Amino acid sequence: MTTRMNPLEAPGMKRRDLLQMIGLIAGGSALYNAMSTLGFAADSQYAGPLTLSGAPAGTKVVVLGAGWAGLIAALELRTAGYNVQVLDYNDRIGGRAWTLRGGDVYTELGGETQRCDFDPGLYLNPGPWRIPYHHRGVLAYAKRFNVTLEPFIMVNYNAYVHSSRHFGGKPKRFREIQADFHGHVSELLAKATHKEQLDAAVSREDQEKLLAALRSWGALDENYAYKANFDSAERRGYEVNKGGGLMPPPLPSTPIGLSDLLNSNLWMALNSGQIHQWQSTIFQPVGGMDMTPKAIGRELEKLITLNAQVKQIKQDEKGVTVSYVDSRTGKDPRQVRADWCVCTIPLSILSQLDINVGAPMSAGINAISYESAVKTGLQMKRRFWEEDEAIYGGITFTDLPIGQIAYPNTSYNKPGKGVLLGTFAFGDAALSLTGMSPRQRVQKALDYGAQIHPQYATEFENGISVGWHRVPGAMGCAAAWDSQLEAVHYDNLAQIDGRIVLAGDHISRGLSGWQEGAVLSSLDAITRLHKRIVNS
Amino acid sequence: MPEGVGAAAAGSYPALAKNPRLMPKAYPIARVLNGSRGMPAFKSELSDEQIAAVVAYVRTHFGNHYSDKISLEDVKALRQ
Repeated sequence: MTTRMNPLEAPGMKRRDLLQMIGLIAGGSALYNAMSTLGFAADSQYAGPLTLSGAPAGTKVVVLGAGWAGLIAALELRTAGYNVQVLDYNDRIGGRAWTLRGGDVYTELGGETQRCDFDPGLYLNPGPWRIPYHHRGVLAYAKRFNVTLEPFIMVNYNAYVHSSRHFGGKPKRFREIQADFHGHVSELLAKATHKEQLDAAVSREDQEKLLAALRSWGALDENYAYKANFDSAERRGYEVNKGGGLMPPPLPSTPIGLSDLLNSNLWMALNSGQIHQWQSTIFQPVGGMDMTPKAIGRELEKLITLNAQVKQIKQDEKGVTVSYVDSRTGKDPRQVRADWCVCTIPLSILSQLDINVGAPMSAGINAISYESAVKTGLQMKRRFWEEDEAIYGGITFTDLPIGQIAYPNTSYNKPGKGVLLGTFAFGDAALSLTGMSPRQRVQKALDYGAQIHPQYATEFENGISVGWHRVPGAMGCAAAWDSQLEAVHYDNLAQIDGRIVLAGDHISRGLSGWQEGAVLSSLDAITRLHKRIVNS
Repeated sequence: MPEGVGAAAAGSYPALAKNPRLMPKAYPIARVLNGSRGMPAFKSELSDEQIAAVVAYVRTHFGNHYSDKISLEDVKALRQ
């Protein structure tokens, strides 16, 4: 059999050669389109390293914010030849890409100060904590700055799904719920097929294939029934697992009945790992999410002013003046004068600053509220989830206000301590927790979490909690876009307004709260800004 | 914030305590219903009864003494 040639492939020409040629002739966007056609890049709009050059001599850009968007803007604009200065409110680089480690001190809005007492090597990522395989922009910068990645376990078949109101409040293993849900659905569909109820929708020939698929997918027996046997046990687990020698023989476990399963709502937890943004392979940086921003920040160190609280952003025909004070004291007013401004300040804060942009952008800045989220890290004396329960990384989902319990995706099977994510709450639950003191939030994480892991009572050592509406430099987790807001405000926020362009995850479609949103927004904003500058 | 005192950082949360802007009841009702800037809207999370109760509470606590009644009609009128 001869290999069918790609119609785009000229004889003797490799695909990579072709792509290079297209890139040289037609530029980046054509290259991207060609890559998409060939099935390489369809998953990401990251179009490869930015190669801006030819900044007019002496042109200055002030970048507001040293999170992902600001750092990328500063890095790439500096490379293009601009004179760049970065201001950030915090005393650290990275913005919401933030990691709390032992010794860190964090004061939240409301004035409460927490000291992180984690042991060396242990940490909490209060903000983003995972990087999907198709977030090619973030991955490219992590690679460029030599940041080591490791797998983030999104789906752990042995972690729990938990309903406080069903099965006596006892958690079930993910594999049990998934196997039983697939099994029961397959059995039902097979029954309907046998009763000729699908004849109108599926041809007789296809029905044979469908039945074979259902039997395989649902672990059905030869009569298309889902029941306790070794086939279903291979999916949901064993009552007595396999052994050696004179150990007892294996015994299958008993599936949960369909009605109990449906009523428990536990099936709601099955899809998370199947959703594009959470599909495997998904990563975390070794040592904490701030590793890449910090590495970029080291390269830009001389350009960055920390502890700078922006008060006013005022543009005129010739440039932009940014007024700021020392964020620790509120004193020491200073100004930066630049030709252009890339502003990555979250809208939750930008909407409170004095900035003279046009009415459409201003309306957008004021229109977007911010999502609520809470994360709480709990240091435990031992890794009991591994030692007692064979849970290595991943996430337990619960209907309790803590939302999730996540296990460290690193240092598996090692003796010693570990830090659990004891709360990952959104929405109303997060707002309610954010209203509490840090100490109360940690206590809630312990009280609720002990319903799933009673070991909390004896193993807990210390904890730290971050409610995003109390984070001084963010005042919220991420911009809460919906399709209506997007239709009215999105383009207005993304356009260059005079000498100011906004960037950040809040100016991304569907990537709000994701680092990739900040990267792609920043790359797009500075590419347009550069074009505007060299053409003006 | 504890005692409704508000807080300030890169931006700020206004104090609920002794805040004369709570005097016209439409102002806090509209804020809770529709949000404002970074503040989320609660119109889909809370019923008219709940919003009336929240607004009545803040208008009569934290040193505020605006005891005129919040009716369901007051809330309904401001739902967008």
